[in-house]
Amino acid sequence: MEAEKFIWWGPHDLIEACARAGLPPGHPGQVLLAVPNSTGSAVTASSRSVRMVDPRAAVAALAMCSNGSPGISNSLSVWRRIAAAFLTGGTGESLVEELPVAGHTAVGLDGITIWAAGATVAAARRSISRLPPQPAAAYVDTVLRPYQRAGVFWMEHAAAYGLGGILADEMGLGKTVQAIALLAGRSHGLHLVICPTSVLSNWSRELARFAPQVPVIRHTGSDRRAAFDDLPSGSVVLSTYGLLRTDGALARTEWDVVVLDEAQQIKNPTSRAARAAYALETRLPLAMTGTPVENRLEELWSIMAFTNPGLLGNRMRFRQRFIVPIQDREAGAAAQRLHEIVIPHILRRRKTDVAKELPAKIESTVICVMSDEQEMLYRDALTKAFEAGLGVGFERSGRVLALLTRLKQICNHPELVRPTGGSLVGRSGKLDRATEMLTEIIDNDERALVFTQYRATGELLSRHLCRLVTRTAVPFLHGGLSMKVRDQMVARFSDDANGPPILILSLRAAGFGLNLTRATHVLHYDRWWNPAVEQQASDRAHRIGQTRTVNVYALLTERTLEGAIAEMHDSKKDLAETVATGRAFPRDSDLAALSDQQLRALLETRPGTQP
Amino acid sequence: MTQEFGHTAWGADWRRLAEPTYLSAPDPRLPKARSLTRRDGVENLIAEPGHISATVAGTGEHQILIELPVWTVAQQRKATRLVTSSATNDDLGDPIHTALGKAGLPPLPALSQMTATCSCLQRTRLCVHLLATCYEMARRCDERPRMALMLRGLAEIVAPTNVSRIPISMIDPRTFYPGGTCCR
Repeated sequence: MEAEKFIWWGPHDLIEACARAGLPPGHPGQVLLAVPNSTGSAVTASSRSVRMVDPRAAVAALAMCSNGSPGISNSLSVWRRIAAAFLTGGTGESLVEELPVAGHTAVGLDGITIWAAGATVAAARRSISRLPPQPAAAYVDTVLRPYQRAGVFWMEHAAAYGLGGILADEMGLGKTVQAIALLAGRSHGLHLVICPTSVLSNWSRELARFAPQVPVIRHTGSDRRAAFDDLPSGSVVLSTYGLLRTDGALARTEWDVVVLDEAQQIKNPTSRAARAAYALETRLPLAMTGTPVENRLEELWSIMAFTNPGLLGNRMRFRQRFIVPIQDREAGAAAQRLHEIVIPHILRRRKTDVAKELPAKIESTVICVMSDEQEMLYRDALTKAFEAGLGVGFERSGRVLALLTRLKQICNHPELVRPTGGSLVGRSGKLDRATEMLTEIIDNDERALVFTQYRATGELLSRHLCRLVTRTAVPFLHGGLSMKVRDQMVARFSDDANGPPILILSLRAAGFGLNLTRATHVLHYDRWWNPAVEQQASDRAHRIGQTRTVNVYALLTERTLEGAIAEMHDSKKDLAETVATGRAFPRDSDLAALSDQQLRALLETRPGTQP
Repeated sequence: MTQEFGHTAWGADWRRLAEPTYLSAPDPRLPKARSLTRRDGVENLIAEPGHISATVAGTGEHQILIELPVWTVAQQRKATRLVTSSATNDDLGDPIHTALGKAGLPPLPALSQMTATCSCLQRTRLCVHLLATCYEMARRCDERPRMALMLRGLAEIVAPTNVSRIPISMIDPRTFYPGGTCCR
């Protein structure tokens, strides 16, 4: 299913058996199949040698092979009739019930389920018929990886059954793009996406990138609309948990799909956000989260009360049936039963499961919003600098550098330029987003490197992450430490099973020699003009000895100079040319060569990065 | 306060077996039995259609065997119809228990239709080990009402038909066709 192939399996002489039945032998492969164990008492996953065949070739051959062929099994014979139905324009639906488990027994990428007969037949038909997707979904369909297509298919099937679901793929597997493909493919009715403010811009950008034809409305701020009935069908309304709690228009609308991104936000069922979510009217309620929700029972109940109301019974009964037995008595049977009830409705694939399909390194840009405080400070710094004048020559270089440093620090956190001693939460879009991401990474027992170019930022991160994420000290490796201390930090991170899950590094101190392949996530908290510097840093984790996929995230604050840097990395804008230094990438100091007008245009609101 | 053992109708059947209403004087063995159950003293409990076996650790280890009549095929069919027509999810509410009783299919038969034996050879009607097993069954049926129906011959796990993914552990090996060339 997730490989989009037909599989022949069973006899020891597979190739000969294929020849006898008139089937193409295809390519050899090793896949997990759910098969009865040796005693026949249970079905378990077991790795088998199979032949894998492209669906079109398989269906054509199946339809041709005669029923009387020697050695033809029951499931093959049903598939033969299904294939014949496909070729005459049928759906094969009437044959689904006849298909024995052996005919759809390939284990899904999650490793714990198989796809039901109906779903398998529908997917097979789709893979050969090449039905043109909805025009709005045409582009995103081409960029989906097969496992992502299976994810979209699963969500669509849930809708067909009148159910919802939790898309819980691990971070980095592309939950957002799967959701976008689903939304773009459903052109009847309106869709709603609720997410934390920190990822709102990301949604706008990804929707514009993957489904440019889908109308998107940001429903935030005081000028938001009071109703949505005039929007064209298929529109996506983007809003936040904050508004979900208070906005009447969201509650009054009948939605087709409602996506709750970072759904752990409704982990408390009595919270206003959760109650507002339960009250939404929707055909397909979906939740997205990267945390292992299945093991957090209260949270699971709360999210499923939105996606699959009634499935787990009321909260009191859920406590009696599952929470008390599982948590207090470690009752294996209750845990097993809960697993069986919820697993069809949670799709969670881990990077290790998908590894074959993933490149060794996945790079992504995470767009963060500015807080009001950041916005004010940023504009203020710009205005003051240009009003006072930047001067010329040597003096100009110094002032431009100082300005750039100040702006970057404001993007990192206002506390760095205007200390208040107050709480750090809610004041920097980047810090809030980084906190969410790191929490999720650690919940999944993975380790992360965080790079910054500023000592003060590193220290601030270290304090903040220790308090809110790890609850143990978060080491910060920087140039001010002795070599011996740095070595100890690296050793603890790399070799100590109980070592810190996060290591913050100053880019300058960490540039050489370090091998930190224990980390599978790299966050660049701030940006360099020269992507090679970031590259080199990312390669601390992504280097020989790394057996897992490394995710590299570059955080950037929208509508700031960080956006300009990102554009230049994407080669959308050849700044090097503007600055004319002859270097491939400029340095901060080179920016002094720009005219005031050019400089201001670069540092101010940049339409290119505004969603 | 909710009952520690038997807060659902399904579990209450088993609690009442241990604490019949006709008891006029408090039975001093009951607190001891409850405490045994609470400390997970009922081990290796195997429940299958028609019988339950377990070992109870008290002073020494005791083997328990309880047997009860399985419903006839016709009774099972009737019960399945009743259950599937009113169950909204995997859990079964008390009203279904009531409906079964009204239809002449009480989930737990009267004690007179059951045999309960313990290797301790105590001659009281139910020894403390059997009482502890009753409490354990009350607890399990509270958590999982379908267990009560399984004892009478119904399927304990009902695979949902409206999902596109099936947990491997729910695949019935008996409906699986082994061997042969196959696909997907």
